[in-house]
Amino acid sequence: MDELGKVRKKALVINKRPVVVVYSEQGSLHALRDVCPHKGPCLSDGMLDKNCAGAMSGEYIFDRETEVLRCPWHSWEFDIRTGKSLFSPDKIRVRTYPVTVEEGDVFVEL
Amino acid sequence: MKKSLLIDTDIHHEIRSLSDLVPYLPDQWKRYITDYGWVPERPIPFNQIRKETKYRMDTRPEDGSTPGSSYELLKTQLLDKYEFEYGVLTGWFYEASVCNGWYEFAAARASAYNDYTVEHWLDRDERLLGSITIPREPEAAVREIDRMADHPQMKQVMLPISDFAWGDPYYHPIFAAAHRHGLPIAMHLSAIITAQGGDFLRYYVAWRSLHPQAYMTQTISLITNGVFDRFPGLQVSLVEGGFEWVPFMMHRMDSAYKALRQETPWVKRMPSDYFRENMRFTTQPWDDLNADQFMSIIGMMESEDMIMYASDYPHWDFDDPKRTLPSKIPQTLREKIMYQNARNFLKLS
Repeated sequence: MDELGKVRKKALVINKRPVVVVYSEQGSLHALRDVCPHKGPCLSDGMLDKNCAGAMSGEYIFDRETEVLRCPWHSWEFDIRTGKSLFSPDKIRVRTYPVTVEEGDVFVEL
Repeated sequence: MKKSLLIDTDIHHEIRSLSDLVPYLPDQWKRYITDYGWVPERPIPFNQIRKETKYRMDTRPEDGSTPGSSYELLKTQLLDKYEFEYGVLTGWFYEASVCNGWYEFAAARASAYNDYTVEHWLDRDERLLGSITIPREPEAAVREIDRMADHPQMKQVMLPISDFAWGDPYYHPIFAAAHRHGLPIAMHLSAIITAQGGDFLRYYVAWRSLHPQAYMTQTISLITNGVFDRFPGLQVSLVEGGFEWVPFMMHRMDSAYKALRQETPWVKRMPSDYFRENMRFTTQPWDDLNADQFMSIIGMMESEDMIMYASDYPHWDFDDPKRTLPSKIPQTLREKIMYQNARNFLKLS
């Protein structure tokens, strides 16, 4: 947990499966498959950000509730809580895994 | 192991900074960079909301220099990883070709960039092929083509797409020089690419979506100005401008030509013939077409020879050669797009 608090996201390989664990600004932990479903690079090479919302031309609102992992190549954004893409949440998504913390250690259930 | 049959037609190697060009510049031009703070104009206002903005986030060298400027990293992340037989360096120094005025300095920058490309890239790896950077002013451009054309790895002349059309007769000496040396032409968008028929669009997403319009302008200009009639066999690739619009323009121009050909009697053939015989288009940025959609476009083109694979490394919209074309297309077509069409275009023996 201490390490994740500093780096915010960490790439792991668990049973040969690539996983990225993310520590959100809200203080919650999330685990996603560390492969972009579009072209395959590691999402962990990308960046964490907030969803940018807005209802009118020229309006930009950072939605602090919705944190996203943005792919290092084509900028596809995935909600770190659900793995769903922001542009097509029902069709394009990344697999997520349950995460628990016990005595400061992080466990991912595959 | 079976040799990988792959050619990448769009790799953007970069200089770390203008200082990389200083050793290759004549004294009178060096000073503008070393002493007087000259930098190229930056004509577009956009950055993207992402780390490294226009680059893939994983392509910055460890020493912090510009993505695309490290041969070692490019070799690892691209040439070796995917086992390319050849990769065509298209650079990212189009400002020397599209700037207005001060053509003597632009010509010196273009020459310096070519010399830099030879020494730092082509001399280091036989898989790398180069594009000759030219200034826009035709006489100087012809001198530069004549100077570089005999280099065995310089395989094409780069004409960046800006806010003017290269098919205009004013520029025909450039095509004549390329044709005389047996070199094909590549056209790639520059940062000054504009839309015809509207003002400057507000957003990067709008500007990027509109790029094909500027490529259409170039194809129409080349054909109606008789470039392919004057220089038979000349090959022109339109890199990073899409291909889905090509069958549309082939049919639209054919239909116009049937009625209006007397206005341009020097154009001897149906416009779609020039598209099929003289022009090539690249895959990147791949617009996520499925196999059926893609095959319908190939069908409307009536040719399997017009499309070539390109990665656009190290830019953010890079296309991985293993994950670009849909899996359910014929293997013979796949091999043409990934390899043979580029091999023919570049005249590789």
